[in-house]
Amino acid sequence: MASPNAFLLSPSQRANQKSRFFRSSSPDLPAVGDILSPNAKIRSLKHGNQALVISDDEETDIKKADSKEYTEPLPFGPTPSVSARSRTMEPDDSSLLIIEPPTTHTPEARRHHATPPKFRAKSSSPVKDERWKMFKSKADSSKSDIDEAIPMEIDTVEPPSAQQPTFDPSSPAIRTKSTRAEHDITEPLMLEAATVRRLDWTPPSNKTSTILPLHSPTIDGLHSPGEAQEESKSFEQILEAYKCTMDNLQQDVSIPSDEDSSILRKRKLVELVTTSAATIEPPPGVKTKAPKKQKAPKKKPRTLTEIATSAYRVPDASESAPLISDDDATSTTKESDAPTAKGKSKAKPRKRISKGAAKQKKKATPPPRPILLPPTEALQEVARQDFVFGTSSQLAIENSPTFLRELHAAMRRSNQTEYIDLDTTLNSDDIEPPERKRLWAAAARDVDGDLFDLEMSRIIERSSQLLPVVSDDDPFGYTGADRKMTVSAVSVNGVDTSLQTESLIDSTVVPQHKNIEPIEILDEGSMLIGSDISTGSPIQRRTKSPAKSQPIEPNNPCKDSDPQQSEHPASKPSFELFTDAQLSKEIASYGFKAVKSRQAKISLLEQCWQGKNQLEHPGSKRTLTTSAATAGNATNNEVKTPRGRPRKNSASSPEVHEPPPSAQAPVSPLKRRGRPKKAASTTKRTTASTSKGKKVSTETAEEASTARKRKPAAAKVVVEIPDSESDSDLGMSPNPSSSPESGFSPPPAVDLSLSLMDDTDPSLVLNSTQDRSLSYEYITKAVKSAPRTTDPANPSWHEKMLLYDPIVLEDFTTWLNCGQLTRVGFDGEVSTMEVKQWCESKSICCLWKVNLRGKERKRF
Amino acid sequence: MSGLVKPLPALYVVYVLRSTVRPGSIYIGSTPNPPRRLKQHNGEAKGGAVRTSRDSLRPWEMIVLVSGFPSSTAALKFEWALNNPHLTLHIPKEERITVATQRKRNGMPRRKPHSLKSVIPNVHLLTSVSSFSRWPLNVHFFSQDAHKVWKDWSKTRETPVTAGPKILTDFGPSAGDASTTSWGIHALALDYSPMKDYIEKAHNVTSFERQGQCIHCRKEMQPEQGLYAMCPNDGCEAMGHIDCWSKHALAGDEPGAIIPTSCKCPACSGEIRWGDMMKELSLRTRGTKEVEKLLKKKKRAKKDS
Repeated sequence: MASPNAFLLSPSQRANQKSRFFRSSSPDLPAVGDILSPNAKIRSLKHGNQALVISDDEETDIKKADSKEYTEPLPFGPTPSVSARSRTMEPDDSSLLIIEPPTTHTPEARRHHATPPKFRAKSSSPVKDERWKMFKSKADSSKSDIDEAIPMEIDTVEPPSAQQPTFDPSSPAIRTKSTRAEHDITEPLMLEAATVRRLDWTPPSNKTSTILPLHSPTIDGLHSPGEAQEESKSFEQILEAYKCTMDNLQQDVSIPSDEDSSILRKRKLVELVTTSAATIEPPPGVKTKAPKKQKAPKKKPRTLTEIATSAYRVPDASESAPLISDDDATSTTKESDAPTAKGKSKAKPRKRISKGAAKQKKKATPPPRPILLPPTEALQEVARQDFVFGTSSQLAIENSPTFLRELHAAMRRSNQTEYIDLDTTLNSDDIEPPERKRLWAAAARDVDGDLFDLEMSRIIERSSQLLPVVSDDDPFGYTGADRKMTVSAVSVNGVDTSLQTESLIDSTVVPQHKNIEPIEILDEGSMLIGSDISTGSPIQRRTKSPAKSQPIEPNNPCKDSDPQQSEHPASKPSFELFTDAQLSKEIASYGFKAVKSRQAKISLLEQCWQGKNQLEHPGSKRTLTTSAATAGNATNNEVKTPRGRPRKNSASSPEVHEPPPSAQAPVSPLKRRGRPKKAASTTKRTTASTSKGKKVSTETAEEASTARKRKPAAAKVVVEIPDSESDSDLGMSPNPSSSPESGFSPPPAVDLSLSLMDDTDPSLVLNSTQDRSLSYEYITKAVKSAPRTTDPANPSWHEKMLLYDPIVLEDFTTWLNCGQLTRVGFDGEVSTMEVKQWCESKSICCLWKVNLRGKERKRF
Repeated sequence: MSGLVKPLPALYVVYVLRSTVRPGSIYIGSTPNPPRRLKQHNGEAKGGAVRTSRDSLRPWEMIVLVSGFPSSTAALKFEWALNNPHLTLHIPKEERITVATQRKRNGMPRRKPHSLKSVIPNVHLLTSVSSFSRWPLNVHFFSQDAHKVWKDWSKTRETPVTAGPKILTDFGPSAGDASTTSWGIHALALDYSPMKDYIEKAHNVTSFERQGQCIHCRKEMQPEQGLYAMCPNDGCEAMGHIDCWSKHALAGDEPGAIIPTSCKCPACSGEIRWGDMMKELSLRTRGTKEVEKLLKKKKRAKKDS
């Protein structure tokens, strides 16, 4: 009844509650009183007294604390203590009024409702108990006044006679109450409705329930046991309960504020009730107080630091234990009084314990043992860890930390892989799933037109060559299947839906084999096929495994593809044989302006050629290639060295590789079985992988793993480079992959680092002095030879420098690299760091476009 | 370029602040308005640096001042370099005077606290270092002991700095005035007033489009068609393309130099500091407001007089 209200009320409101209780009760009371016995006077008296009562109660408590025995006050009404009592009685009266309806209920129900008052009494020091008696006696006295039978019982309990006179003069309301009580007893049915009303203001049901049993025994003990007593008890209990509520309120506010207030605010009323009940139950006030205090410290609010550091604490049994022990103690004190209370109390402590234990366990468990690293080590630890970014679902799902990383890499690669697909699609008859790729590639190349023409032609040639060889389509299809497989794995993880779609397409397009195969693979999944993408997740590995197995078997297609690869590398380097005109044409085709020196032309063309290859194939290679593949490729690829990510891949790859090989061996045969056709037809990728594997020796797990890694790379590469012929060729193909990765590495970081390092880090500055001096000369020349401006508002760089203008390095470098240096005859580009050093050597004030805060300067 | 919006500042200085109470306490800062900044450091105005906020160290005095920075950016660069002589890359490794022997918690090298005997040599070094040597810097000494350290240090240097800063000393009325710090700083012109005549001269020439031919290349200078610098010397209206001037000024300089330091006017054969000429040119091309303000003031002053 009351419990819901109590719950609703916030702890802070408690103080208010108290006031509310009295007031609310008072209005309620008159209503009831009106029904039972209409006395307007009573209402007024009650109301007026209530406010006073609270303070009086406190006073009385103190006075009682002075060790006044209830027996003493009882007999002597006129004493100040008595007057105080009378005042207290008045509030009690209000409570009594309220209580009346419960009286109608069975004593049990009354107990439940009345419990709160009991708490008050019990919780209160022995003095409170005395109050109890006082109240009881008062009630008894009132009862005795009205009803002899009841008062008799009461009399037995306490000497009401003395109290009676005090009560009588103090408030007729008491009498009325007693009369009401009588009525209640006589009319249980009528009162039920009133109980409902009580619900609003009464404390939570739990309290009542727990308290009631306690009260009953206590009351019994206090009062002489008697049959008639039950009624009186019910009355008394009711009264007590209300009194108790009063006391509790007071306690909560005044006395217990120190201990309980914090608890009350933070904990639910129920808990409070239990604790209070437990404490209260033992009649000796001292005992009751002590347990309360103990409990309070337990409940002490935790500080943020405590919570934060709790994970690193060695779990203290003491914390949980004391709580339990206290509860137990309280329960024991309660003894027979409240089995229900015990149960509740136990339940509560259990909850507490469970919570605490759970917290401790949770906190303790995740770190096997709470290890608090010193800050330096902690930083190092953090430095060792890679941060993975992903959706929470992804992060939650992924088992291995590497998986997400690889997934991201795979995503990127997948975009690149499309290139591969294009190649494959061109070659492959059956599987041309990715027309998109073609379109994309075509678009990419078409944009520049000339630039890509060479590549296109080459590709076409390759494709034409390959096509006859390939009946290979199977291999392509197979490769496609592999991709799909990997993709599907990814999709399984929920990362790439698009990839899944592709896989579906493949399955549809490609003969059933593919579909079957992946399944088989999964089953075999034995563990690890170190697929490029999937390395992290076992599933992906499995999917990859078939690819590995395939490559081994289908050597022929690989060989076929190999010649193509060989052709590619061969095609690139013939620039030196070109005539100057041809070279210039080539350069023009790449979109570059004319270069004077022949060597510069050749070097430029070579760079362009490499760049093209990388662009076309490398992307695919990247996607498929694992770190190992990248490493192998890197050796071949001279162009770019992957900075940031290659490491990750490499790091991740070894992990993946190691486990897979063992698993792979068994898997591979299965794959063969499942996909004999495919294996035979293995795509270029497979061939490449096989060739690698052959070279290395597929037997060793490590080699196999590398082969697998290479395979994906090779497959991606496949278009460009046919596998079969030589390992070197294979190596060539993978190389581009490394370069693309390097391309992915975020450039901004470099810039920031430069800016940061700007003044402080000499290492960056260091370069070969010769190159510097050379480039410096050209820079100076370029600057000085630039035409003077015709607009004073837009001076040339030279004029800016003469005007001491701060030079923005990025802009100036761009200007230099966009034709100015070549105009002066310098073939090559200068970096911003070089330019910076040049500026500083010339006393030119230079700065970075981005300030140290990472924002672009708006003023100088 | 947003940097074009502003002309060269009339004054921007990097100063060395020293506690008059405890001479060992030194602070290095930069400001376009030394008197105002000194007030801030001494708590007379709002905004002093925390490091100079201790009452026990006040009042502060500016003992050394490097002026002539062509931009606030330049001044800040110099200030940072002077505050971190152990880190700055503007000082070549072999010439570094202040070397950090300890490291801070964050791993950065720790600099020893400033002292007159470390700051002055670093000022000397930085003003001669390639990054700053061609800036039109002046070094002001408002303290005898600081100037003495400078001189002593300069002697130890084998090769005096040719393109080094202009050295100015102002130790104030030696015996008479107690307020030795106030004169030095307050003697500095915070605006373009010292260049009034120069500015007015050039302003008149350009406003009447009397540029005529470049004094160097003899080509006609179309008004508003380029940057034409004028000789700052009195009565000389020699004008020429800025790059022609630079070519002329760098004639005897090292081959790769971009920014000249000084030259002789081919017309009046007077000495020209490149910084002065550029200041005027930037003011004329970018600081029309400042020019108007300056010239208006002058006219008013004339009227008043």
